[in-house]
Amino acid sequence: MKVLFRVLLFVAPIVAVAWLVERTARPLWPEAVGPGMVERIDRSFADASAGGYDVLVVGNSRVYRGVNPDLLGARAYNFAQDDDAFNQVYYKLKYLDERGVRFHTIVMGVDYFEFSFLSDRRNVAYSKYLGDEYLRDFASPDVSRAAHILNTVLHPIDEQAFNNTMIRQFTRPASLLLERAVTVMQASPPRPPIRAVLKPNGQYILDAGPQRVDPIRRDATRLPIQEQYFKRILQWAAERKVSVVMVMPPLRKMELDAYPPGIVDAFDDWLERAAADHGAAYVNFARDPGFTDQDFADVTHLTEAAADRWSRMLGDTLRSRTTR
Amino acid sequence: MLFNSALFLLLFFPVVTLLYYLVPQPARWRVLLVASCYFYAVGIPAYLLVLAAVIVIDFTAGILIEQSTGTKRKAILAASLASNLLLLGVFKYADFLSGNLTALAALIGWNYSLATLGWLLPIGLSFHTFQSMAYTIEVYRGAQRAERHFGYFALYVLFYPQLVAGPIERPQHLLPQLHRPPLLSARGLRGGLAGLAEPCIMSGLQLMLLGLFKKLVIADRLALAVDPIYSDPHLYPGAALLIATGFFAIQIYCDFSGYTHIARGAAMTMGVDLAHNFKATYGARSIGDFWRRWHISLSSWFRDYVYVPLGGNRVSAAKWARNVLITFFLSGLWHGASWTFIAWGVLHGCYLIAGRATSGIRASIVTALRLQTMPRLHGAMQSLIVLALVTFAWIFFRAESLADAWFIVTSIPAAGAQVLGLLRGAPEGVMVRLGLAGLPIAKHEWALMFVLAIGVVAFDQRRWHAPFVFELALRPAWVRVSAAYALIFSVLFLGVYRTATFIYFQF
Repeated sequence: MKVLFRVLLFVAPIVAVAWLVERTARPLWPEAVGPGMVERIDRSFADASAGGYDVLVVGNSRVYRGVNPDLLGARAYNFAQDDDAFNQVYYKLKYLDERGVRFHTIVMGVDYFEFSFLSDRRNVAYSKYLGDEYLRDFASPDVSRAAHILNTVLHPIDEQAFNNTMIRQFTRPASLLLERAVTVMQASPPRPPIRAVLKPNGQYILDAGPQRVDPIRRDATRLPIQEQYFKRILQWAAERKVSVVMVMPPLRKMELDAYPPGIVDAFDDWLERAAADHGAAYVNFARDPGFTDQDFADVTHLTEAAADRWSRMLGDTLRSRTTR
Repeated sequence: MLFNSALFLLLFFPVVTLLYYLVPQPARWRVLLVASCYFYAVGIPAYLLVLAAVIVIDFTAGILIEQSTGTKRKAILAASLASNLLLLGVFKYADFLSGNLTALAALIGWNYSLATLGWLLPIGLSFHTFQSMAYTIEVYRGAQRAERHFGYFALYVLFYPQLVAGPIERPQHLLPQLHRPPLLSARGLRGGLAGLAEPCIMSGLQLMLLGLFKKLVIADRLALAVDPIYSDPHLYPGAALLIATGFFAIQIYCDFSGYTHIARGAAMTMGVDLAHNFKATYGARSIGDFWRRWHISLSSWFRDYVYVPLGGNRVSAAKWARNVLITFFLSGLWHGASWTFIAWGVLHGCYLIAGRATSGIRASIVTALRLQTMPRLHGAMQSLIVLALVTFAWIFFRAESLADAWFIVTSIPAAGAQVLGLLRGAPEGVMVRLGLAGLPIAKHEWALMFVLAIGVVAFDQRRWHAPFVFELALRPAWVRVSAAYALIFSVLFLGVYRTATFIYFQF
């Protein structure tokens, strides 16, 4: 009993300080990171399901952050998400279709590396929307029941969830407070905070600042499963007479250089052929001279101002297709 | 299983420690053996069979060696060592060898290609085969009686705290402790829940906390800068490469010594005192001194089983140099099947040879500058030179290829001009000028990294009497409690949580 009391006495200040740090940092949290991933996905599904738009924007983080639907010249909603690839896009379209949401155009971001991975990082949020059929792609093939039980016994704790909890409860609040303390000690005007906003139109803004060095690695492998979903999306749209505009976002030169020689041109040819085969359009902004390194918030994503500029260009593209 | 994983910290360690104290002493080896098998199986369960092979071979060999005499005794030892080395060779070096033979064949115009096995290296194989080999060698030398209890011998190889990355224990040190933990037996082998109040538990927990601090707060934080730079060194200027190399010197030290603290701490909670592996390493005054402070259990293994049998230093200067180079070549190869590790090992061997060759000149310089009258300054200068040499060698250890290492070595001289250029630049351009602006690390995090890195080196300059935790135990209660809270809050608030493996797990 005495030992237990001493343990509790020792732990109490730790709990108190952790609570205090978290409470103090809480006001700084939204301006630095915006809403959390699950909240963003929940809001995104709720808003997309409400309908009332003619153009749906889908794709990965480049589109999620890079397309401002308000500037497309049509009623539009940005339903993209970080790390989305074609499997997620397909099931999202299916999800909306099953709920009777209709639109006449899909603006689909395509990326040279978007075919190269099958990301499960957001499945904790996606699983409740996209169902078992979506999750089946992530099940390990040919896993026997015994192997499954063994795996459960050997890995009973979700390490990723534990790490996320530690980050959310301890390290992120402490980092925010430390950064604020450094700013105060420097007696200089506070640095404009990183703006992190989820707009009502679905676009996510996370502005940092232009970076000069670009330690980037890109893989242009086309996984069969992603090719399959890519074609299913085009077929799905063709069957419903929904036009598809595939867009390659503006890229930094260093990113283009990170691909093996010739792969980008071959990829463009392949995308153009796929678009032609399914009555879609492919618009390539990868080498658009209107965008420089200063237009990027980090190694990959456009700044808010550059995103607005690109969105207007996309709007022009959409209008020219409509009037043609 | 990783020591910094939730599975270990929240489930495995508390449950195993509690069970250990709840069962009576004669049955404790069973608890530890089952727990150790589980600990290892969390990686790739099938590789427990590799460990089982090592255990069966060396357990049998130990008994047969003790029962034999003359050449038969030697033959059994040779067979045991060959079996261990064969396992190591197949899993660790086969692909390296076939790759090099294929490259060599291509060089002389042969179209000759050897198939690669592509097997994953069982975690810690180099550690437990070396520990097991130490057992048979010691039995052969008559310094250790053959263990007749298969369970205890299996535990000697599998004991979870030191299973995957050492310390590489000698049988004389570990086996008796597994039979009867001295830290507990000194207090009359208290069992049951009352045993949990033993001081060794508190000391063990403090050591583990210090280990977690070194791993999560220092090593993993520095890795945020080191990993991206070393994975693509061609994208960075010399100043960034210099900083990354300096950070890596601290990262690997804190990563490995942090692991060792956790291992020793976990063992200590069960009354087992594992060997020391580090002694204020970056306070070393010479390269020889460095090797008496860095990964002590491995360097003493190579000293006792390779260097001394080759003749050690009781031979001519040329033969001594040969012995040093062979030992360090093998030490480099032990770390990994790659030319970068071999280059790292050989470089350290060259340092030692150059140190002996220049000892006269260096002594004259010390006399000329009257440094012997200023021992603190002299010591600090020696430490700085050793740190610079060791850090330079780490480039080869960390680089992903010899070509990358050479690029870094040739780029670093430009760092001086880049750092001097900072003096003329606006402060907000510092990170851009150093080529570090592209990394997703905030300024205050950079500041923290530099403070931690300098702090580690400064801390090692103190005179080493005993491990920090034991030094701390002599302080007043308020100092001990404050230190514990400081470590806990640092781990909680400044730790990097991303389940990063320990660097030495790959060996």
